[in-house]
Amino acid sequence: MRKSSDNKPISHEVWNDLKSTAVKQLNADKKNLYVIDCFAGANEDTRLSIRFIMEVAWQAHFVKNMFIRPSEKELKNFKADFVVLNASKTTNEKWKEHKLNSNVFVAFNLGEKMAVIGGSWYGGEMKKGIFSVMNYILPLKNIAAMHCSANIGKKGDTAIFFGLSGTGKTTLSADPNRALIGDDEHGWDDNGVFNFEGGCYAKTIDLDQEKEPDIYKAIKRDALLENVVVKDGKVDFADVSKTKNTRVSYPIYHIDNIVKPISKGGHPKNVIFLTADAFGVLPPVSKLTKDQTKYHFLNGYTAKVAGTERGITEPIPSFSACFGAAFLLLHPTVYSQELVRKMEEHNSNAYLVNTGWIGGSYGIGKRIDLPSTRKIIDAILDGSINNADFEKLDIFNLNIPKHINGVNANLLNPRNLWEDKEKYDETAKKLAKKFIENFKSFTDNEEGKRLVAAGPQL
Amino acid sequence: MENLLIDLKKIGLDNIGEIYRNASYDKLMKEVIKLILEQLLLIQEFLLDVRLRINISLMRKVPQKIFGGKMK
Repeated sequence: MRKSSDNKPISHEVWNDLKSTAVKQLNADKKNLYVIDCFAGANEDTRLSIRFIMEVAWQAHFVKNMFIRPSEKELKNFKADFVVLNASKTTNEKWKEHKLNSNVFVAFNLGEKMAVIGGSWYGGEMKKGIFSVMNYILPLKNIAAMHCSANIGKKGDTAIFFGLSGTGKTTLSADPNRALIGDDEHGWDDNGVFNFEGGCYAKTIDLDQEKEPDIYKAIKRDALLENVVVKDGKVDFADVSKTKNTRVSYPIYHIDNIVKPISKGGHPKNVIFLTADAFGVLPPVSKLTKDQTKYHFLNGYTAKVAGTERGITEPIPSFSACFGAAFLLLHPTVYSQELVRKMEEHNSNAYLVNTGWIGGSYGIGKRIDLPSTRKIIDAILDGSINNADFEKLDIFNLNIPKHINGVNANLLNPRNLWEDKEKYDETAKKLAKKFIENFKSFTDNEEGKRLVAAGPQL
Repeated sequence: MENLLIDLKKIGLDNIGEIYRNASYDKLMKEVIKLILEQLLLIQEFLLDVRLRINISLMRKVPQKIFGGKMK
């Protein structure tokens, strides 16, 4: 396992202890258990058959929402490739002895084809855990595994949207003019793009009926809300007193406009990297060269805002390889090479779209409005962006269009909107330095060294 | 179901109650509601227990106040 990986190796002894803890919890007192047999992956020949075993009914509901359900016939002959034991009610008392970070555990044994969960009630552990397994299995079969959403236009053109949590993957892929393939996890094989999941898991913080009508409408019977606050019988989506990570899971058919009967599409014409740059430095959109595609995919940049306390205005850069480092079980270059190879084979274009701050950093500037971002996405998807003249943005060497239909042209070059141009240059250099620093972890091979030139230059 | 039981036994799950395999949403929802009701009953029992303890504690104080001594 790579040293800088978010996943940490454990010994067989620790695995055995964790497995025993989970089994002991599920096997005690003749308790009732919920078993959900389901699939990850819409393609029959590469899908993973998974058996989830748990003691909490709503977790079974979550799994039912999120994964692909077998037909009656498939259920009859179901043989699990992978088993997940969710013993969320127990914890690992020996965590210090095991040299782990806490008494919560989410452990995988790829040899034994089993995962065990303890101490965490977060539904996402099950979904993202299986995504990690898919990220291990598929690249070995020359299939790209991607942390992205995907949709398809009326002319059959597929687009994929990479991005870390909070950058707009789910929001921007739910487009009334395009059919949704999926909102989070996909594979790309010789036939095109396919969804791993049978449902969506959307953030609900500040959910607004007008801004995100598809997600809002999807919250109906059988949708499952997590960590939201109910006031006077109504959900208050602005209340983040439990956590900012409030969520809803729902089966994909809760979205009106989806690809049926199987969540798959052709080879993507457009690949979009979404980033929420809280420094206000990156342009709302830039077209990437082949090497820039590899560079920005490996760096996987977004930013987190420091908090809402008064006086704290400093954003924190966040880099996550392939826009999903936590789910990568192989070296990030394996994923970037597979993606770019497929993009070259199918003449796909790549764009970097900033859904974050403009006119200044967090605390000074403002977040770009959703309608403008939607217009930018529309211009990428209908190809009209390519009719514009492009200019080069210094330091980051990004190609930015001078005009996009329906978008204030002044927004397109981020430097224009900063009152203090020197401050912009200073902030851009500061962020560029962070990019360069982070990319050093990929320069352990010739390809990585070569790609340094595709990144920002100081 | 027989195969499922064999599979579960292989993992070490041999002391279990009912198994709900790919249960319907309605079934899962009923189980969630059942659990919430059970929790509410537990809270009610707890509160009754607390009230009982408070009552006992008050009763202990009565003789103390009247006779100036402790009740065993």
